[in-house]
Amino acid sequence: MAVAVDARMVVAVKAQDRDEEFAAYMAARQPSLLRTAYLLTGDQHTAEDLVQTALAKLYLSWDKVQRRELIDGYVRRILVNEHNSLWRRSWKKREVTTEYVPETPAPYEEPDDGKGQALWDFVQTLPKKQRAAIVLRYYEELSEAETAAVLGVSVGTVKSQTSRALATMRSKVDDHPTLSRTTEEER
Amino acid sequence: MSDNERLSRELRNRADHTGGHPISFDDVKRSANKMKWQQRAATGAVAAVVLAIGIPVGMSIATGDGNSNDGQVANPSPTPTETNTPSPIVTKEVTLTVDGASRGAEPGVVYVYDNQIIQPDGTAIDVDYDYSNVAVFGEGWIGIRIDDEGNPTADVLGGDGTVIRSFPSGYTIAVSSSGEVAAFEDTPGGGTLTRYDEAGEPAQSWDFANSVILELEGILADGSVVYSTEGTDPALMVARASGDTQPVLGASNAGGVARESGLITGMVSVDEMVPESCWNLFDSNGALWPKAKCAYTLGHFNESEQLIIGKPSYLDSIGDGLVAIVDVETGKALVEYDTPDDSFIANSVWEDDAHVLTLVYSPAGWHILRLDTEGNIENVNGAALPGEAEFAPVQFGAPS
Repeated sequence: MAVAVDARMVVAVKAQDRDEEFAAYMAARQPSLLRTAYLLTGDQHTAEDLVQTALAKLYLSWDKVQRRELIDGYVRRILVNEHNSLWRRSWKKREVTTEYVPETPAPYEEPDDGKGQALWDFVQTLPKKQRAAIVLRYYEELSEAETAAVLGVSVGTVKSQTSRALATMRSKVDDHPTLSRTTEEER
Repeated sequence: MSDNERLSRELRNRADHTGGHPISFDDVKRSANKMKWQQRAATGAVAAVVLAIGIPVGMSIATGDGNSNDGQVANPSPTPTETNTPSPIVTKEVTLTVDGASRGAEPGVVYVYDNQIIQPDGTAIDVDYDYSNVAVFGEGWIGIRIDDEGNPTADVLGGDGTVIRSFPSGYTIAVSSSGEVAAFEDTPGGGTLTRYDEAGEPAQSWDFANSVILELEGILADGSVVYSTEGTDPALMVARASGDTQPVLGASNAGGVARESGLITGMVSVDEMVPESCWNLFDSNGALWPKAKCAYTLGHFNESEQLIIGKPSYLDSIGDGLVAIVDVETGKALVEYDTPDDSFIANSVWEDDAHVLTLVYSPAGWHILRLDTEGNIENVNGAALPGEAEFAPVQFGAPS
């Protein structure tokens, strides 16, 4: 019986340590993950759902990630993969939408007479994978190689995705600063 | 300012102005638990099979060298010995939709719908919960219900559906094609795995001292119970009829257990990054396929134990985009049914040796569809069943 009790204690201590470690990581990284998720989704509620799901998946995999320095990359990848799967949850009315540009979630002062809004509107019309490449490169400031690793694509694909997005941005935003929406069909 | 800088600045501005509600650790744990049981339900041990006992297997298995996953099963069971050269399999791809499907007969398996257990003859028994698993148990039933926190409880029900006894459980019960049932009772600091005979009487029990929850995967012909453990050291195990327990080395959990042949589909790896899971087929001597296969999550065996239900390689708990019928011998799909982008599959089970029942959500609502190995689709329930996409209205159960 003593052996059984000892074994139970080991299991309980392991689980407690694990939870504490995960909770500390979560507390430290949650604000950043929410910001990235918001940029990916354009909607605050969806971003919260996305982060909660990504963290839950990370929690389930926590013991498998031996090298803790890789966790940020790991959770980013879950976040992006999960977001790319969101079409299968299109029934959740508040989630996802590519046809309509969501409202700005918080008070926001335009620094540049509407061009910033046009730029943001443009970002939200990008296909999901292209948008993820843009967010990872220009917000997370990952290198092309790091972005490729998170997206699970080649560096060449990242280059072409980002350059295509920038070219479209120049033609649509700069030439038509009032751009507000682009339909799925147009893409 | 360059285009890159403009874009970076705008993204930072937008990100800085987003708020959001803080997500608590409890929220995350609750989501994780729900995911775990949803994935369990999708690959779970309760197969809807007909009562067909002792069908000779007679299949051939490409044994390979099993080098990548050196599995061992505790209970030696009949291992297929004939070897044929398999003919090449070309997977037929079919769009899974109710449109154009002919009307089919009522389900040939027990299922739970709208707080009723409905049997193949149409008899309905009122129950208090939409059980996620249900099986005939002696004169009554046994079912697993999941509360809002994701915690499972097993209810033993009388023939009229009233609850006789309840106990904390794992997410699954195991049911054999002969009608045996195995259930795990979680007790403080330990638990008991019990195999019940066809009359619902305890046949054998195994006590576990450590506080670990067992998920039950299947029952072998000699009375052994295949189960998996989760947590820090996940493992696929067999509780032997001799009383011992032994690991299936190289596998962390099972998708399906073949009672007669003793074959087990075991998950050998999962990678959230790709994302995918890889599987092999195990018998008493170890892994049978030379290399693990990652195209599908492998689920239940059919009655003759020659076909397996295949699901997406990575189950993300938000609904499956495909279901396949996979050949055991080669691991290749005979047919793959893919949903349109606006639809998903909640669950799929074998109805008989050649047909799969699958529960599909589309914008029109829920449908039970009957699929065969040729790519044919029947609409079982006619008009769509109402219900939110988040809550599958039908739970397939075990045979009556």
